[in-house]
Amino acid sequence: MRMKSFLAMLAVTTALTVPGLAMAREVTLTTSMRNYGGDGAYLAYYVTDAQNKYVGSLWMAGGKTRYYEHLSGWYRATGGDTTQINGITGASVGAGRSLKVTVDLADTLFDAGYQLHIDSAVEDMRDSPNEIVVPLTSAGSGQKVKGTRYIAAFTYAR
Amino acid sequence: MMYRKILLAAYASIGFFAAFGSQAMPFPPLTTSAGTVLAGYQESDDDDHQKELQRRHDDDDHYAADDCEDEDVEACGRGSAAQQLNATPPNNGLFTPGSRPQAQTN
Repeated sequence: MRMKSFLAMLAVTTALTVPGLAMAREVTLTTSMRNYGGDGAYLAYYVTDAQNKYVGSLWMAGGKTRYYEHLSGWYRATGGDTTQINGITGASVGAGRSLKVTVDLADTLFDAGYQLHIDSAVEDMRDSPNEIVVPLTSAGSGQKVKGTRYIAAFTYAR
Repeated sequence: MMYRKILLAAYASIGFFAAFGSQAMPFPPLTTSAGTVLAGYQESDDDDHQKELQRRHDDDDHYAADDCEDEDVEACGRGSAAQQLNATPPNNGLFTPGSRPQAQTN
């Protein structure tokens, strides 16, 4: 009798654990910059849903808040609300350099119509909102996407 | 019988610890080392800081947006890889609770 209850408890524990392990996955976002010949680029990484509605931010490269308005897609979506990027802000990325961001993301973000956007901006140069817009899909993992202005290539891998 | 009990106990232990493992995250760093900066910072926009920056840039009438130019150079990792260990991300439903994003510039 004791054994049966123990086995039942074990089954419940396993059933609760396995989905938890499967729900999240480490995703690496790799962004390589062109040699555009300017200062460090500010990059805003954020996600929109299938209705193109802002869901949340993944990373902000660049720490000076007064320049955030030049990341116009992100700025319009958030109103410049810096609480959106608390804890996920790093340094700007220099020309010719690359930034690798590793995040644990919910599996539900993939193959569900979500899109990852990257806005970029460089001082004294043209702003580049939505320089990268890529659907988050299993098939898109590892696929290289070219940017239009400052970003040479972007990939996400899970 | 004894062997089965031990086996079941081991199996239960694995299940128990796996539950914690699913929420596992790296230990926060106790110290920062060279080339490692704490991300999640916001620059101070206080008046003194503004004046100081103004003084610094009035000479050539140029104000750089580049963080690497006038602030924490190590954060930019010029010449070497710089790893940025960030704080807890916002609870926006994108991140796994308890996870900590990491960024590395090369």
